Amino acid sequence: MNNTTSAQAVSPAKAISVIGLSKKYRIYANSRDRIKELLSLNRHSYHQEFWALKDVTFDVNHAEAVGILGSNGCGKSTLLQIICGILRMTSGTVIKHGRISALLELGAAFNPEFTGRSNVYANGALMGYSRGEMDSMMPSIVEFADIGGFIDQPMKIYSTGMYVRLAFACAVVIRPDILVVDEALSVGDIFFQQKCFKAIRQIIDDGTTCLFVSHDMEAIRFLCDRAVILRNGEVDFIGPAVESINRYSVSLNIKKKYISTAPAPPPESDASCVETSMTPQDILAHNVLDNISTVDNDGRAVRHGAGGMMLLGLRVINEAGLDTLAVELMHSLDFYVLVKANETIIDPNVAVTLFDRLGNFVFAGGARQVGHRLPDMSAGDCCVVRLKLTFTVKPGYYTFGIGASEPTETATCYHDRFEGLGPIIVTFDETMELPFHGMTMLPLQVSNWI
Amino acid sequence: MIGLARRFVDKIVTNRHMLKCLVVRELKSRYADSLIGSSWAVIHPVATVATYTFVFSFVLKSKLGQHAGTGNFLLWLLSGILPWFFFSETMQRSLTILIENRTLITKSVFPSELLLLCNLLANLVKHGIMFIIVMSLIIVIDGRLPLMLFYLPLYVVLLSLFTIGLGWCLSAAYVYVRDVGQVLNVVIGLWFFYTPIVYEPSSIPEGLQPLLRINPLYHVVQGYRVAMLSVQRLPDGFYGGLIYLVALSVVICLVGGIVFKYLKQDFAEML
Repeated sequence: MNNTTSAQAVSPAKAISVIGLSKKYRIYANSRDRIKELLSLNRHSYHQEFWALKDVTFDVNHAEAVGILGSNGCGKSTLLQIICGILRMTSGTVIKHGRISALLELGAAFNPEFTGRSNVYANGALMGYSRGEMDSMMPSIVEFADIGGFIDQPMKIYSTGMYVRLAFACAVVIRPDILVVDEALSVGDIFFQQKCFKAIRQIIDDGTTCLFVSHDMEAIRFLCDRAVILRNGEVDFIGPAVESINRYSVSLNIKKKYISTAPAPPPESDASCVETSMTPQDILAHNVLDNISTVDNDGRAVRHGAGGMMLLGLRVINEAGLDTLAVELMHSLDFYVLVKANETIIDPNVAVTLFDRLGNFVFAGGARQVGHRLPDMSAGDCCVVRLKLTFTVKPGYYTFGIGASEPTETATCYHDRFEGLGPIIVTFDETMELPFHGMTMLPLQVSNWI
Repeated sequence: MIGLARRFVDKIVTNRHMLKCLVVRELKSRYADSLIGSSWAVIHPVATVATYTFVFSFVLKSKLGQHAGTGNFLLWLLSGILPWFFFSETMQRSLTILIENRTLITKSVFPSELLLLCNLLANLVKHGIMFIIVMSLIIVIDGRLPLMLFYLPLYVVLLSLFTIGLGWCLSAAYVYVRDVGQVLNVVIGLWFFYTPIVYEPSSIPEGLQPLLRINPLYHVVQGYRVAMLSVQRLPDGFYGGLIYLVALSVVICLVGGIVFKYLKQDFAEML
């Protein structure tokens, strides 16, 4: 929105300044004590004190994304509520420049009795937009939420997922100067999460100041420039997001005890012995491309290409030969791809791509990348290609795609491509120690000398 | 004091879209979930008026004095009960509106005092509709035009100030002490009969008259009747009562605003 940039141009560099902020909660045994104290003339105290925040000081620059990390009860939400002006502080100062949109709870302005559309108008009104202004944003919100005809149904019949989708759509389409999000980053299924992260990333790139509270360290790392660690209401550390996360996870890991430190089983290397023939009929009988929703969920086609080759079928089985998209860490899935040529194809390639839940491009590779030359095809030829992919990536949800391509003089010609398939779930036995940390495992050898 | 009022107006301007949206919702949602919807908005007052007309006009055979402005008990009752409905419904709704919109108060940036204003505006709309119905009845049945109708807007404004001031006090107190709800029910019940709605003030002994006149609604009801019925002669102490009402309404409104401002600081913790 253009009002964001204009606000940026005139305001000073700091979007939010928090100076010496403290918050004391008074805890009363019951509400009668509160009244007694209010009415007592001799200032007799009936409460216990609890300092939720102690002398918190930090700045958020314009167009900066800052994360707030901390364990439960360390004062994260209290801090956000005070910054938003919902709670009053006991001492200290908060200086804000710009219109704050608080997403402390998704859909705070939503009333379940009313339709989704009417609630979107209400949400916009809460942020100061007239009905006319909301009319222009409505199509983007409806498209982003992607809940179909439910938009005109009362929200009380919504599933949790639909509720959250609509709330999130409102938050990212109606852009405020300062976006405050409390624990609302990882919502919906993996496809929606990827969409959300992309949208938030876009908002940040467009110059909106953001403040996130989340336990999701990956999300903070992905989105934030800096992060603040709160510990028992005090600022423990402020610094670059990556460093803060490292410090925070170290402090978390001290508490955690591994039941076993046995290494995860190494990937099986007997690839040759599971080499069974897979007929086109087998693939078509278990075709993932039929079962998985291939409709677009972002307004763009998930299948595209020049059409010189067609991907007719895909079957995914695990090491035990079961059709599944769940795989244990360090184990593999076999992707059997049935390709048909519609014209003469020289040196075809079939490849698989992998994206994590934040939308990061994790991996792409196929026959050519590993140096395996597939036979040339003429029109009408079919070919079954097996791609065995070992998942040495961080446990979690992934989406994948497959594609068939042909090299040309200048670039690669994509004949048929599917994107946004999945999700693939990489699981991990929590009682074991991870064989690596980070996004993926790189070849590592360790030696030592006395 | 002026700064306070100006900041309040600023808030209204900033949040005008939300205010409008909430007023529409307030009107819609009150009857959205019941079977026959907005018909309840009509049935309830009609039933109340029918009961009082039966009891006082047919059973107790109350006769109206010559300065009542009409000979028809029903019209006389309607013109007096009109502001009462507005007042009592606004008060009763004031209590729950903060609790019902707690996510708005605890999870978003919305000035909670405006919720009471929404409630008032929504009830004013209903009040306006009821006024049109009652006024048409009076003109049709009595066949005379109300010559002093110009007084009415003044009384509407004063009653609104009084109601919202009281609403601010009670709703904020209710957040802390839920007993306020029970107290209000009892007080509203007594207050109805303390106000000369179903009886003429002249039927009360002279000695008790000053006690009756302390009640601001006494003057409101009298003002409505003067404005809507064809009263020939202004009642005794009409202007004195009006001045008293102006002063009291403004004071209650300001006190309510200040009390609410003070108590709302901890709403987010209490709700």
